[in-house]
Order: sequence, then C-alpha cells, then structure tokens
Amino acid sequence: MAGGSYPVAASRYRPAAKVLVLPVLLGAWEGAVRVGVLDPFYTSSPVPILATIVRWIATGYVLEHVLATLAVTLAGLAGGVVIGAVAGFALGFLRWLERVALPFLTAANAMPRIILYPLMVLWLGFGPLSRIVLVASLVVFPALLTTHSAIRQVDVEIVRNARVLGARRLGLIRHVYLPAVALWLFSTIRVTIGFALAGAIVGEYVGAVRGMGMVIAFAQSMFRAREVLAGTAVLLAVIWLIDLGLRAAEHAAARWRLSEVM
Amino acid sequence: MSTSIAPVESRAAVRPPAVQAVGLAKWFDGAEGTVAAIENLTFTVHPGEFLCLVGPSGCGKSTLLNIIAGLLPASGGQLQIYGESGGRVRPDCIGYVFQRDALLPWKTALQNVMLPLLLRGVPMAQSRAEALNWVQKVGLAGFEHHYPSQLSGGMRKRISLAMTMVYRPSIILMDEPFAALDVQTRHLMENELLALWAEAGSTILFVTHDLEEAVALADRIIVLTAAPARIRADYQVPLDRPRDVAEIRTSGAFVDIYRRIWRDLREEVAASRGRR
Repeated sequence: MAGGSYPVAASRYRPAAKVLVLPVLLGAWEGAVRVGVLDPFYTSSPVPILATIVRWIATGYVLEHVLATLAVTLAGLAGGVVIGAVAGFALGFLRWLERVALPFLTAANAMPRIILYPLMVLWLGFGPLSRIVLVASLVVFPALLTTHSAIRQVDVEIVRNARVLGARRLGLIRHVYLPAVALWLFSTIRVTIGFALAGAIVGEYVGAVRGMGMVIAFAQSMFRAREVLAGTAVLLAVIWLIDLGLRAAEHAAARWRLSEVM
Repeated sequence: MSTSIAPVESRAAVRPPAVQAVGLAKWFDGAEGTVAAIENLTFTVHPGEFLCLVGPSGCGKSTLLNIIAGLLPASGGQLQIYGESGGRVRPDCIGYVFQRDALLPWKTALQNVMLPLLLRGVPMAQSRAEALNWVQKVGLAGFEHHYPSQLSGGMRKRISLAMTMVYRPSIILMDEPFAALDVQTRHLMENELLALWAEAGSTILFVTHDLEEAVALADRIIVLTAAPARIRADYQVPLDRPRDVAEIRTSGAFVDIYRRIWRDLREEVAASRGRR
C-alpha cells in the first residue's frame, strides 16, 4: 500500500505520449497520400477509411458481420477454455494420466493447428461449426497447460491447511484449486483471444457467408484496399474493447492480489 | 463434542486420554535408504492439558504432529485419539496451526475464518456471525474485509488462530506458530493464546524449539531426543496460572525448571549438531 509512489509518478508522463502517437502516424499517412508519396490504390488513407467505417455503421452492415465473427470467436473460446480447464484439472489430479498424456499435449500445443482447418471443413462443412472447432483447437491447449501448471503450483501448505480445516476433494476444488486457477485462466484468455479472433477470421476467408473475415476477403478480391483496411480497423477496435472488458474483469477477480502487485 | 448430558466429574472420569501413542514409529524411504524420524514413542496427553514438545530442530516434532493430524500415516505403533484409532484426519476434533500461516490468499480475513464452518455445512449467516465474533476476539475488528496480503505477519497469525478456534476443536496442534513473529508481538500472542485456551478448555500440543516459550506456556513439557525422536524426559511445569508470559520469565520457579529441562535439552541439541 505504501509503495504507490513510483507508478503514480510514471503515469504522469505516459498519457501525453500515448495520446500523440496515433494522430501523428495517421496524419503522416494522410499527408503522404495527399502529397503523392503513397498510392491510395494500395494504401488508401485515414479519411476515406473512416468515412467507410461510418457508412458501414450507419447502414448496419458492419454490425451483422462483427457479431457473426464475435459469435464464432466467443463460442470457440468458451468451448476451448472449458474443455482445456476440465482436462487440465484431470491432468493435475491424476498422475498416471499426466505421465501418459502430457508429452503428447505439449507437442500438440507446439503444432500450428490452423493447418488442420481444411480437415475440419471436410468433416463439418463451411458453416460456423468448423470455425468454432478451429478456434477451440487454438485455445484448448494453452488453457489446458496453464490449468495443469497452476494446479501444480498451488501452495502445499495451503492444501494441507484446508484439509485439516475439513476440506475434502470437492471443498478443495471449490475453495483452493478453482480460485488459484481462475487468475491464470484469465490471463490465458487475454493472451489467446488474439489467436481466437485470428482463427475465426482466417476461417471466414474461405467460404463463409458472414463475418469480418468474409468482408475483408471480398474487398481484397475486388482490389479495394480502403475496405480491407476499414475491416481491419473495425477488428482492431473490437479486440481493444474486448481486452478492456477482460482487464476490468481480471482486475475485479484479482482484488486479493492488489497489494502484492503494487 | 459429546452430546450426552452428564455431570462434569463423571464425564471427566470416563473420558479417555486426548492422545495416546504407544510405540509410535515413522520412517521415510529415501534415496540413501530408510531414515527413522520417530522411534518407539509412547506418551499420553490428558484432556485439557497444555503440552509442549521441545527438541532440537529437525528431530521429527513436526512429523509427529502431522501423524496426529492424520496428514501422514504412522509406520508402526498405535495412536489413539479419544480412544479411537485409525489414521484418517479427524477434522471435527483436531485443529492445526502451522508455522507458516496458510491462509487462502483469495479470501478476506472474514471469509478465511468462515471456511471451516462452511466446510462443515454450517449455514452462511451463522458462519458469518460466528466468524465475525472470532475475528473480533483475536483483536482484528475492522480488518474483516482485508485480504491476507494486506495484513501484517502478526495479524495473519491471529486470523489462523481464529480460523482454528472457530470450529472449537478439542485438540489443537501448534507447530512453532509464533516463530516468525517479533518478540513483543509474540508475547502478546502467547498471552492471548493462554486466555483463549483457558476459555475453550481444549487440549494443546505445542511444538517449539524455544524452551523459554515452552516453560512459559505449558503444563507439561516432553523433551524429545535428536532424530530419530524418542522421549528423553517428561516434566510437569509447577507454575501458577493465569500467567503473563513476559513477566513469568524472571520468577525463581521459572528459572529453576528452565535450568533442569535445559540440562536434558542441551545434550540433545549437541547430539543433533554432532551428527551434521
């Protein structure tokens, strides 16, 4: 509680620089196009991109596609995290399972799962389900490995104390293991949400009828750099908003660590 | 814990010893063969007694508490808790305060104290009321909603104590609970422990390597040998109660009993040093 002076002093300088970065970059871009250094056919420029986004929002066009992409992302993320956490718990508690499965899971985590997408389409078709499975496959291994190592790292003394206080297996899971794992899962979600969104969009590049990936892929096929960039900007804004929400949730869930962090 | 209503005297007469160990042994299988931690330990702890176990560090005192708590199985001999044997944890009658406080860092002080009650199926409102009462009793009113990371070492120790006392265990095991505290806090806590013990009437098995602390607190002191732990000596502490642990240290009777026990303990400490 007493050590708060450093962060406060540092944060006094940050906002000015932070606020300037984006306008300077965008201004330079816009200026370079106006002067003729950059060819708008390939690069477009901030003002028309913004105009496109405004038009998309006004007509409701973008909302439909953002929601479609978000639905796939969140469904896959939720499925991957839940399956990963459950499997991670099983692995954390069952030594023999850990010994048999962990080497394979670690190898699977290292493999770029996106290359399996054609196979998923083959099995599940071009509908959202194949993309949800793709997203889940991206998220499930990090979630599993994080849960497993979080369980391994729970303080033995705390477990012994809880047992002496009367906790049996369910009580231990509820009062000790779940809270210990929750914080790690939050950061896993924050790290993997980027993968998840990327997985959903790459999936939408091929054969989807809705979704921001489809919007971008279609614009690209029509050589419209402006719309490709507008779609990218929308996705950036969406990711930023999601991260903001996740950070707030993580902050609320980890109140008990506040004074340690400071 | 008994629900039958009987006159105090007759119940005391019928009541079996709180803890009875006969020929208790514990060995560990390590890379360099089998190591004996406890060997042929026979002793009885009476209900309501404050018993201190002293011995050189590493002599197996903590192992003994872990066996009594049911956290470790014994390798040989018999152990009875209120006349019942079996190696399982008996959470309702045994409390255990560890050297390092093992509070749940994601729960507030109050939620920590509520935990043993909730685990026993006590309704939320009642758990909360009883836990609040104990948080106040250990002097932490106003800190109910602080997390362990926001509390000092002494405060966390008080919460561990409340966490144990709240479910009224009839036997409380304490493994050097105050070792990490500064001397003033420590004396304060020792006096509070004595007051709580007098009020609750529980049996306490208190492990320490600090003989002064043992004499100040205990009714009876068992000196254990250097590893493997055997019983070296068994002393009654003839000091009046209530005691003030800081003041009693200067009394003649205190110094007298301290010297007698120290003669035994010194040799065991020397033996444990020689072995290393």
